[in-house]
Amino acid sequence: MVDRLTLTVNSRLARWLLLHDSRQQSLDGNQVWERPAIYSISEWMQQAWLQSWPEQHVLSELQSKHLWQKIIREDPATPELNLLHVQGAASQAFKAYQLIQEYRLPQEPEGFIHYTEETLVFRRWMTRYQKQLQEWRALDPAELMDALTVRMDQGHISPPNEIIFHGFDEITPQMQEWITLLKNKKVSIQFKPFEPSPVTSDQLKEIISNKQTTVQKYEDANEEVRQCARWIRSVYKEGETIGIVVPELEIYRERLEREFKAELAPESVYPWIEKHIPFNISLGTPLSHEPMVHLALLLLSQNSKRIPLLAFSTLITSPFLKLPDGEKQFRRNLDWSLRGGTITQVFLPQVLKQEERKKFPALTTLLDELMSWVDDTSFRLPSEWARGISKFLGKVEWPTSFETLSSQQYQVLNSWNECLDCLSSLDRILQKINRTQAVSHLTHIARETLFQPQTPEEPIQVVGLLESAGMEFDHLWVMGCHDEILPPFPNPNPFLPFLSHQKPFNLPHSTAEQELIFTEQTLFRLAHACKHLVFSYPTWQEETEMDPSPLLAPWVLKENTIQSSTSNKVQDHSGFAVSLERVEEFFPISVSPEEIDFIQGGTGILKNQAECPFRAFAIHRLFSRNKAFAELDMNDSLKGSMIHKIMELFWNQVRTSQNLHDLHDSNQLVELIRSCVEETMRFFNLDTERQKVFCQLEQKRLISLVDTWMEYERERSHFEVVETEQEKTVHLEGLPLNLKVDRIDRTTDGKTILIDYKTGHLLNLKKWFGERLEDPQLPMYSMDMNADSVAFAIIRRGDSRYRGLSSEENIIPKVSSNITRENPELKTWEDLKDFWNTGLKQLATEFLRGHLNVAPLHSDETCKYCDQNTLCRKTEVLSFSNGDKE
Amino acid sequence: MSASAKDKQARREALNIEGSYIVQAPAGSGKTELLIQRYLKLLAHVQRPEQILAMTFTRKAAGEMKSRVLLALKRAREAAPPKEAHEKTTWEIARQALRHSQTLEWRILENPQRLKIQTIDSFCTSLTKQTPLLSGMGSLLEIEENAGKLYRETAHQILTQVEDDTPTGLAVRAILNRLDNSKPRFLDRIVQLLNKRDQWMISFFENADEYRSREDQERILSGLVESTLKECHDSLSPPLKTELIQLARYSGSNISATNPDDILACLKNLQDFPEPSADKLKLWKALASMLLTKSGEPRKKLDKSIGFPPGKNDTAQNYKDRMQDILEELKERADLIELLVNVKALPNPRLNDEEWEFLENMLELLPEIDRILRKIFTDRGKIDFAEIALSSKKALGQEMAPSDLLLKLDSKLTHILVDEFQDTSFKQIALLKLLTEGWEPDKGNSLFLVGDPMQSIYRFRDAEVGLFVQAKKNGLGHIPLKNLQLLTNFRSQKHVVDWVNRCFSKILPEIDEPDRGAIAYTECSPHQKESLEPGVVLHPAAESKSNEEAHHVVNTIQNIRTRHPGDSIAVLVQARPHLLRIVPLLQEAGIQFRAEDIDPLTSRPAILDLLALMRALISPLDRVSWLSILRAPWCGLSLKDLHSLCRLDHKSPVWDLLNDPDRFKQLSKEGQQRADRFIQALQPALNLFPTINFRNLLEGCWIKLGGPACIDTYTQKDIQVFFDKVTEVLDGGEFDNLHNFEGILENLFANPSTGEGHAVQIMTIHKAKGLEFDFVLLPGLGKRHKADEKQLINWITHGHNLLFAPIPQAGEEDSEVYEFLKRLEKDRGRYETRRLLYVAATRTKKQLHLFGHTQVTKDGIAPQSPSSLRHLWGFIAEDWKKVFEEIKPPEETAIKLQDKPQYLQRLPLNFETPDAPPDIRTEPAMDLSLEEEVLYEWAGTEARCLGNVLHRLFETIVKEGLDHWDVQRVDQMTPSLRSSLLAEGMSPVNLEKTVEKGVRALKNILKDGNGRKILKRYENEGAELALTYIDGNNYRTKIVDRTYVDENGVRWIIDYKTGERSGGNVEGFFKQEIKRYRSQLESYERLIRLQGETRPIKKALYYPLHQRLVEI
Repeated sequence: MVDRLTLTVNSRLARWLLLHDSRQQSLDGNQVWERPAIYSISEWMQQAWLQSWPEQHVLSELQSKHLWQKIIREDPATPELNLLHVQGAASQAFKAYQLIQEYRLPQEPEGFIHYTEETLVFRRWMTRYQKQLQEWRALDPAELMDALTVRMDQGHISPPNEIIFHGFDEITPQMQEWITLLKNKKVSIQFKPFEPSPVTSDQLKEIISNKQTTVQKYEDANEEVRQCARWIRSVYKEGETIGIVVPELEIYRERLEREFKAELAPESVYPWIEKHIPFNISLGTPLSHEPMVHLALLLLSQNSKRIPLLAFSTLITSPFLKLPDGEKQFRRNLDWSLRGGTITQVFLPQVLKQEERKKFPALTTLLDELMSWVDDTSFRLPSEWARGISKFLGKVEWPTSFETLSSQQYQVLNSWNECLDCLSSLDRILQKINRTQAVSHLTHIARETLFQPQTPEEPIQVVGLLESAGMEFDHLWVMGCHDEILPPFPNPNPFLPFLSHQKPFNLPHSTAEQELIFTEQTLFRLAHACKHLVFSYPTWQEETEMDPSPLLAPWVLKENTIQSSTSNKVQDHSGFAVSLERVEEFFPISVSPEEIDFIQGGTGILKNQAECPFRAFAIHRLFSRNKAFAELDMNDSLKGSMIHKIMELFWNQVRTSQNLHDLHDSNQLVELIRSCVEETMRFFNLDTERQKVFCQLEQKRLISLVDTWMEYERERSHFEVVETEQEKTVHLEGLPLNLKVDRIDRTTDGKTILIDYKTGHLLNLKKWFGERLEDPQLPMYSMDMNADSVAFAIIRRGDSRYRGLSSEENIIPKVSSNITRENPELKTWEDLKDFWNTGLKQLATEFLRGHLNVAPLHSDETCKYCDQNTLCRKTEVLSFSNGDKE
Repeated sequence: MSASAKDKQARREALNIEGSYIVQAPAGSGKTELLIQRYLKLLAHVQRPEQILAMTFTRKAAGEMKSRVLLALKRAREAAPPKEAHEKTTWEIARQALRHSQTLEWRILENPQRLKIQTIDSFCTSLTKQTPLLSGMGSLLEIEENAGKLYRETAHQILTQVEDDTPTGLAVRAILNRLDNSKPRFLDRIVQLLNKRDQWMISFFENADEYRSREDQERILSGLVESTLKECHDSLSPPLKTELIQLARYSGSNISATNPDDILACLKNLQDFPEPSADKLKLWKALASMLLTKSGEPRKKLDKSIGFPPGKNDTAQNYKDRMQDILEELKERADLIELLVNVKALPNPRLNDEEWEFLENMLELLPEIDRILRKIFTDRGKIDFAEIALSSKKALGQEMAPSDLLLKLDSKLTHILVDEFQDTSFKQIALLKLLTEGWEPDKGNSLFLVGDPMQSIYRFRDAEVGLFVQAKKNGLGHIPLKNLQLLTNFRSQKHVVDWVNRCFSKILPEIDEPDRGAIAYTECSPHQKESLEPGVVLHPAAESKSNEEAHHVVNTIQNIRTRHPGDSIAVLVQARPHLLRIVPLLQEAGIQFRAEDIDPLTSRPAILDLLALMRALISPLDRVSWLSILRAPWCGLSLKDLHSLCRLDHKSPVWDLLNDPDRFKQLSKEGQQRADRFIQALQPALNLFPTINFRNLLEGCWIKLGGPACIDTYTQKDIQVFFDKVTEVLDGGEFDNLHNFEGILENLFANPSTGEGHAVQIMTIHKAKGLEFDFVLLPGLGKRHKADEKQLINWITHGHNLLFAPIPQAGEEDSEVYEFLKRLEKDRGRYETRRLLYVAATRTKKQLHLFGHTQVTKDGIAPQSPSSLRHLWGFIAEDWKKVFEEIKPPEETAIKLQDKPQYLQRLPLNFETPDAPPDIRTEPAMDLSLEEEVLYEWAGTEARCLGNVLHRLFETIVKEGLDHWDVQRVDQMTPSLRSSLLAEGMSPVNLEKTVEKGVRALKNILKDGNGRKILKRYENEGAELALTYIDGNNYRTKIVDRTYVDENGVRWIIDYKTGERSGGNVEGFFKQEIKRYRSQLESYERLIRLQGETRPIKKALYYPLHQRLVEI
């Protein structure tokens, strides 16, 4: 029998005490010793219970919560309530049940039915819950202490001689009963650091004043953390401990960790260097956010053979799945080739060609395994799913090989395995479930599992308010002490009646009064646990100005006493305080002959050159491009391409306006249009399988759009379509340009018309008349073809017409020959062509000579959809040019 | 009575805690103080502070009000009253409150959480927390402040239903059809609908029966039409009406003779003036057309086209003259003209079949949208604020009377105060109605609503200024409200107040017109004497040159600074882009400023560099980004070098190009050095994406490259914002968002540079509400406002009704009804813009500066339309033109960028990333750990569970003594074994098999001679002996399953192995096992030796299922 047992309020404290004990042992010169009996109370109770070989078992918290969930889902009222967050409700119910046990709350129905819907329904759930426990011969975790008390009373468990309760801020009535029993059994009971009891505000004031406490105020939480980190450096002495207690640790955790690392172990900002981190932080992050686990869950959560492009791209390039060197480049190019277009999903069976399957076996395995995974429609028990998942991951070699894992990844994997344990433990509650449900449960488990790499216990400890219970430090800094957290807003459990339960039994968090008492007690405990004490708070939280906790207000200083200016962060290093040099760049960079052969492009080159010479340089000479993931398939640009194709198919068959009229008169027009539309849709490989209806709508739309357009074409005088989508290369001042004319018509009297289809936004003929030719396409063609008319065919619902210019009226209806209206200096068609000629040549020359200044033609508009905005450094370049007055 | 005397009286009355009031308090009238006084007064009379709820509009406002209440309470502890009269009142009331709180031991100053001064959102949040079931929440999910992404996801899911043969599918197809089958537009429209859903949802779902039928919609439409007619009817005097009847009849009969189809022909038999009812609409429209031209001006020319033929005879002339008189009169009555214009635009209150069919589809779709959105909320674990508001309303609106519910939640409210009531929304009104539902007259409850309808500017957040007017008229729910009006402006000097009065009484309407969001102007009287002259300074400019105007603004600021040092200055804008040019100029001029949420983050080159770095690390093939980071100041390659690097290769990753020695040689000498530093810096980081925390990776690369050296102090905080956002995305597990980070950045703003103390404040007018400054500058008044986007369905509120109109078919004309609603909507927008200008102008204490440009038209200069200046034009035109004349147009200074050299900013060539400072020196930290576990491929839990249970069981046997264990006892253990295995997490499926295995193991060991030896009691023994020892920096604990000294004086160390080898080569298996566990047992041996054991030691594995002791 153990003589002395130490029970701590949480496992963090048990570990802390064990460490201190071990340190003492080694100071005493011992090399090996028996581990002392120091346990967290819940761990000890579990063990003590099991060692008495009872016939009832205690549910795990996870099992209990899932049982609540199941009961809630099956409750007759639930469908009506249409709850958004059943898991949350189950959690609250779990806690309510715990409070009932701990605080000996009345359980009988009378106490519940008079109250709100929530308490009433909860009562019904609870009955179901208890019935289920009974059936299973199981206990709720909160019932363990009572069961233990009984079993101890009956002599199945023999108590130790002495128990030290460590770090308890509060003794619940339930615990009190057990302690009474222990005392009756002559167990000696001690409390450390002291027996919990309410403190008066005077006691609190006194202890704070005695510690020469200061309350520091900082501009915001970032500054608070930064200064705290510097303070640690300045006060730390070997052999001493520093505690940073943070009431809202979950909010502060990330920046605390980062700032402390950056200040205390500066080199750790380079994550490729493995650094020892000289402090501990007592809160982890969700396991599901670990990149390795995130990837596994992404893989598992795929639901069909069509998977989103982004997921596909992530999976095939992930280093966590088998990725042999020989496949890297292929996969990278495959990924890149799918981006930037209108593809949003990848159809797995079509990814690899037969011959590629042999060349890239790892990818083949991945795709095959994934396909059979998404095909699995069976219903199985969670434990069977856990096995299945483990097998699937094994086959695709997640997470590659064990040998190459870092120590942290190793721990992640351990933690993942525990998640599978957890999933397995739900067989009885969840029964048989399908694949999606299994993955969803596993995902939730991984999300709830906080992962925290195991590290040595450092003399510098960052802990939350509750976890700080029982710990003692030489220096203590309590962070984020603003008035909304000390004391906090009350947050009573909604499932327990307020007036009969919460208030009279003084349940934790039930009322503002209760919160104040508890806060005072906590502050007192903290003040007690250290030699030097600092409180701090941020003045601003986003846009809200914060006040210090009213309990600390008397000690707030006007001027902070702790305001260290020296930072050890790499980024604050004086070596970074250099002034930038400003150099003039030497332009132009002319296009060399070999480059000319390499440049490929059409009038886009001229258009870019006109709009911004730099853009033309970047795109056509640096080949500077990026690609985004499309949000939608069948977007506007694809729709534009489809119209082009339909028109091409149509006019290749019909050729003349006479034929068009004939078709119309013989009622065959719509049929022909339909066949063109159908062929086009096949050409663009539309997803007619899964988006059948949408494609039908699209087909209908296209037919009616084209049909309407043909009405308009029929109004024209006789013409013949001489070319569609004609391609050729022309040279302008030596610059080769690939031209593609949508269509060339010829009228009976031999006039040539150039036509460009437009389906998008409104267009502005002014772009043909500016100092720089912003829309050089048709002017360029007209140069080459010697056209008599150039026109945009605007094909849009409700707005179908030609717009353009002609050498004389009525070549096309409503396409005017009034050039002077647009530019008074141009009188005739020939003038216009000269004007264009000059403009085009100028652009080509500029480009070839390598004029490449950042000079957007219409500052904001030109840049709005430009993807070179990170490269051009426009803001700097332009402000220098303008501000260059001195 | 003077304004100030009236104010005094009103303020006194407002402190009567038995009464319920609605207070109209214009800008600068000191309403916050009044609210606080009333709050304190109430505090002195309630049992618990929680009984008073003070609701404000923003968190900031709530925080400020709470602070001020607390401050008043703290000041009340001082014995001496303050000197200022109004402060004294506050002090006195606060003293009463403080005394009261001390008597009741509230400890309010130590526990300020007890003051319920909150935003409506936070009130609703706490309510839903308390009612997880009634509200349908289950439990509070994380609140997403920018829910746009959730809406978009919802829209995507709705879109996929296009394929379904369901009513939803039908509706989706109908909508797509209207939108030219465009997916992007479909998404945008649905998102729009969701953005505004708390506008339609409450009304829609609660009163669904009242909206669902065609008749209902047409009835509401008629109501709207009639309310316009009625207003027109009311503003026509009886003599005018009589005259109009005759003239109309004359005109009508003339017209019908020549053109019976003309709209005016219907007037020919007019006997009585038409009633304002929808069936008389035709007559009304005809009357309006008779008086007004097509463009809405009073007619100037009378001819036969409107039934007044040339005056050949006296009668004709007579009619013409009489008509002329009326038109003259009309010219003077702008209000009437406007009403007539409205009448002309009224739609026929019938929906055509096609419209109705579409509407019906839409109404079908709305519940589905809600359903899907809720599903998304559940899946993502996030909700928006609207959902909280809707849920809390749901909670209060069910079964029990809300006040009973609140009582049971211990949140009973006896007094409610609402600030900024002019910006109240339907959901807020609905909530207030519920909260006050159980209130009875004279039961000590009170409602106190404060606001200034002239400052209602939150339409985009569902504010409905008409609700203020309604509450004034009819009270709220069943609570009658007494009207109080404050009239004194304590803020602005007389010249400013006078100007504001003159200007806004002209451009704001004379009467309230809730349907059009029109609020009549109420004059204020100044409290301050006149000071600076003039109160308002105009700064006209010739045409839109943002740069020029910006220079002008900055000059003005510098002037004010010189002449009035110490005075506060604010630059207020309606939209952020108006400031794009001003901010850099202020920076250049070295003027300190604080620009909150103004400057887009992406306007900072350093941010774009980071963005490029981010993309480059993610995508090796993204050449734009890779070139960008080579050009960024930390590397600073010239364009020439970039060109040498990339020429003649359009697809290789830039990293490969850099590492190609031939290409590298092509770089300039300096370029090579720079590129080399770049390569060295990035090399170690390159393959780490996506295996480690991305923020750390990004920041590490940025620092290594020299990023911190390339930014100024202004930018430091922006960098922080950028990194914080990355963290937020990663912390939320939304790794996909890294690919669209630019989209996320778009909604972020550069930090206000906190040149504290005396900075120029730059903000939007919305943000400036409630603040005051000595000088206020309003730039960009001449800029065109953006047009509203079309909505999928247009809906509009009329009283408590909701009217829908469908979006027109793509490329077709808008329908009459749609056009009408659009017009109403436009009117509401127009009035709000004017109120926004009122808010802006009334921030001024000393002097207001207006900046804007005009265009030249044939009638002289005029502002663009729509623009703020256009709104002011009706009042300001003459003055503006006068000042404009005086200013000489500046000379053209067009800059030809082409001729200028370009500059590149970069780190000097000799820059080196500094070494990291040394770590803090702590003593070696000690670890505490168990034996290292061996990693395994997960393969089920049975083995582990059984192992644990058997270990524990053997320990128990040792402790209890072997004598207590016989076969009978073993059989009795079955239930315990079962529960133990379940407690370990075993599945019930294989439970019995495992229990049976356990029993077998137990029986085996008890039957086995070796087994019995092991379990026997000895001196010097241990079972599950936990030994801690020092292992480097680790206090490691190992657990020895069993150890004892046998009768021969040999120390045994036993490790239980509970596995079972089925079939096959058993002996070979044991050999393997020995190999596997030798070192483990040897380590136990070492520990026991260290403990001082000198006896011989034997080590063994024991396999109960094989009854086998294997010595090592």
